Amino acid sequence: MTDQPFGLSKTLALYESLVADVAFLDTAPVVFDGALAAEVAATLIGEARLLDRRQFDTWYDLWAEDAAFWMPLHQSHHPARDQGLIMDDHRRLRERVWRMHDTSAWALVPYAQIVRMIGGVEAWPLPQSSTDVIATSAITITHERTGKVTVLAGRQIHRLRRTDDGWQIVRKIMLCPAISAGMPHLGWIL
Amino acid sequence: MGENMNKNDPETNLERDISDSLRPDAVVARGPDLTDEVEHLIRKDVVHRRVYTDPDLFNIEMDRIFGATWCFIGHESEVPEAGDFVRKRLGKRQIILVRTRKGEIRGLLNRCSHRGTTLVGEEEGCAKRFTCPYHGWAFDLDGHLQSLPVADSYSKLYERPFDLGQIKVVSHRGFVFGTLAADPMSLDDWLGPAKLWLDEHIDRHPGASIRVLKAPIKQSYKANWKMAWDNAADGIHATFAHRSYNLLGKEAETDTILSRNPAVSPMVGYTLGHGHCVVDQRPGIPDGPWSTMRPLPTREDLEASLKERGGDIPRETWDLMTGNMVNLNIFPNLIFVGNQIVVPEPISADETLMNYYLVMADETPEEVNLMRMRVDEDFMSFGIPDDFEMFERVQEGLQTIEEEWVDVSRGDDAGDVVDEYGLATGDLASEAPIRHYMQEWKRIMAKPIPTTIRRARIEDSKFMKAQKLKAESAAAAAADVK
Repeated sequence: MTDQPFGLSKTLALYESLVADVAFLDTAPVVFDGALAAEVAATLIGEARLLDRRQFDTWYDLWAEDAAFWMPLHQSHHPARDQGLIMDDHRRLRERVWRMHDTSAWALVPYAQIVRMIGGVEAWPLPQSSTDVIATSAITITHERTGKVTVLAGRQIHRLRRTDDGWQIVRKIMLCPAISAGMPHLGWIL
Repeated sequence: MGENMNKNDPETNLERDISDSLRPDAVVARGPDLTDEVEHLIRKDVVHRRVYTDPDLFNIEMDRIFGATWCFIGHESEVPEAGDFVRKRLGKRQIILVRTRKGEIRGLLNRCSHRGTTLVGEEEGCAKRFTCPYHGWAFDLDGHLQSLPVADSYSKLYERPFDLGQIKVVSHRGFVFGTLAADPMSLDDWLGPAKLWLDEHIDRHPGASIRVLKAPIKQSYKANWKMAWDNAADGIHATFAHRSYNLLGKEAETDTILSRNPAVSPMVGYTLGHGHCVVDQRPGIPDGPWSTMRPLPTREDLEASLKERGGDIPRETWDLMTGNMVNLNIFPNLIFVGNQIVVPEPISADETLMNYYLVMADETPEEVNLMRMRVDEDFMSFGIPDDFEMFERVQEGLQTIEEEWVDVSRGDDAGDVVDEYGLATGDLASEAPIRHYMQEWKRIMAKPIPTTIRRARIEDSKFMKAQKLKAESAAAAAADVK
């Protein structure tokens, strides 16, 4: 056995840490590292482009093994106490990518046209890590499929990891207010 | 005050008929008689497209099916303490489901009795009283008018009672049903055999303890609410509409139960009266629900941690993490799927908002509930979107006005077994559940149904006091004649 949390405590630790990333937005200093933000912005914009252009396999390769993708129903929610829309690990992300290519995923064919607009990127080093940083950005997504348009706005919170091969995505949290009110399904979201 | 009134008092107008909605105790049956029309629309095994597309029929549904019939309102666990409330809907009406100081559950109309303002804007909360933000009228948790500013500016204050309107609510083991019907059948009669299935569902949770999380996943589709109803007991669609989900299961080397051949599945469906039905998938999964569990986020860790607790973890505990594989549908708005209860909320003839509430089992190891949260996200992502796609495509297809009829005949005289009470047992492919609820729809929609608004202190109103006086003097006069 290692000192790493195991089993239940590992799951709870991940959930606490996701909630802490959301709470971090309230205390993060306004004066941020401009150079770091610019570097991170390039990655976030690149991620958006890969998704818009359906380059899902390339996008999947950006993710770290310890991936977590969380979309809560409300920004006050906690993954240990509330159901969410998405709480993915690396394997389930792979399934989402698989489904994007599946021609019997009736809700996704014909393919949608999607444009993601990323703005207001901020980034901070994580004090407890030499490789990981936390970043937030605003996103507006316009989605068109079979003549119907859905526009979704939100705030993204990413944890990115600096590696020899560039930045990896470790975590992504998407806070989208319209989800609380009820909206068409988001089976296409990534 | 009431002593001076007589039947000529223009303010009280004692000649008002009980169906005059100005009376505090009015009983009003609204809308047209549709007996002939529904006879035309709903046949034994075909249904007219207008049942799904007609906005006029939709408006009558909001009165008769979502108003004058028992509907699911919420679960008592959503309002555990006095003052706790959740905002619900019964058709177009907003309902404040609240627990009073005495611990009772009330369904208050979220409509100020003064000018109609909604009192509560939040989806949930805890309140000492409900105060209207417009003119400051304040109501107690049980709906009594507590105070209103400048009360002496009213000369007719007591002509009508100003306590909040309420619906009738009755609970069955925590499940709260409500109606505006003046004289509803008992909830027991309404549920009928479905009650036994509901009880079984509740009893599956240790200590029969169920907690419903207040925040549902809300997703809308552009089609009629009955599409969800047609789908809920439709076993055969799972093989085709959910082909993608089934292929995903195969990729994960877990056969989803949906992927099995419906023609040879031993799963069975029953109609239960009043439109209710159930599909029991358990005969098709002899190794139990847990055996169908796909690899899911956190599963490995939570499974390991549960085993570390030592001792024998009973199969029921493992099965609690997946659904119970019994799809119970209580007409018109309570659907049990997996660990969720699904409440369809009709928005218009061609739009529906689905509310997916997650049910927690509290008297279990922590891992169970943590796993339940992740289980239902799976089908929300990979299953529900394909269902919605089908609903919307059917709604689009039904715009072809010349193609008037929808076929729901599968299983009729071809596999279904009908008992002496008219209830059907069918295999997974049978459309008996659709035919069954359509007959109930027809029954409810045929005629105007008398409804009434419940309200505290109706008997204290000026009108009712005068009515009482009138009745007493008439009785005295009759006695004098004798």
